[in-house]
Amino acid sequence: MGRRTPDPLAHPERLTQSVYAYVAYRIGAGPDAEDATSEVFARALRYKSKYDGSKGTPIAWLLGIARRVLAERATDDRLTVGEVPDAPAPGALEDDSVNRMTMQSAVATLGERDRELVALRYGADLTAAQIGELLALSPNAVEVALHRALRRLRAELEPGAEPERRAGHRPPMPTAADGV
Amino acid sequence: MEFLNHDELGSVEAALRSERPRLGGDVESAICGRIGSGGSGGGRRMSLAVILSVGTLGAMSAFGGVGYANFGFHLNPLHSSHHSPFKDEYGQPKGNPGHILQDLLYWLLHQHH
Repeated sequence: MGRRTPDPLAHPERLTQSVYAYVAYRIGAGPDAEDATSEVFARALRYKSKYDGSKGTPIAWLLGIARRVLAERATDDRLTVGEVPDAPAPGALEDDSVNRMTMQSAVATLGERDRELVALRYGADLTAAQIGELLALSPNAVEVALHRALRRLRAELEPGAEPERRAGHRPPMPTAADGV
Repeated sequence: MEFLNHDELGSVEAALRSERPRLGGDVESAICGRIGSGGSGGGRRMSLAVILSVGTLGAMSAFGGVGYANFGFHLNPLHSSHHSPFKDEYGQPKGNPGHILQDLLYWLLHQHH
């Protein structure tokens, strides 16, 4: 007799928060992210019987559904993916909600790939190995890509910090005037 | 992997974790409630099917059932209100193909006698 697959939605409280944090880091917190999270769990309920515990954890399965939901929404053009929320005025960073908005604003400035990595690592709290399985990357490649994303994020959050070189934004070549 | 210099970015990582977007309590409750109740949707449908089946069988039992009605018809063919020339002559019911064969055998046996 085969081993019975556990219920992937047995602990919904923890799962809903992880999925929402992932979605919110991807498209920004708010009603759209709540709708998308709700849609993820509606689909999960529908396809619960197809969950195979040997292929991954419940959160990895849910994030796979979430990625499809977001991709469909982006295709439908129902969401303005990548819209940057208004940044708060400097000096008002003590308030927790403002901090959160600042972080989300900074995350929203990242490219699609970086945002995906940050959302999976710090929103859904996946390990580098789990992210690698989802994105077909090695854990080492995930770590390196995350490190670069964090440096870009720090440059957004702390304007004085050294900005990470972005693809297509090479620093100017040194000239004779620079003493080279 | 020293070259990654994780300490330098530790504060960003900590902020990303501590300032993680959180789902509102009402939305979370709504989703969890739907999982709690909607998760047994298939079970509810199965329960409904079982209830309907049991109800149908119970109703049939209360009235004796189809089998009982048929059985009663065969037990008491001469007192049936249904008349036919065949039954009047041989005292056997008709209608069922099996009984038509029985009727024919009965008739053939009586022909020999």
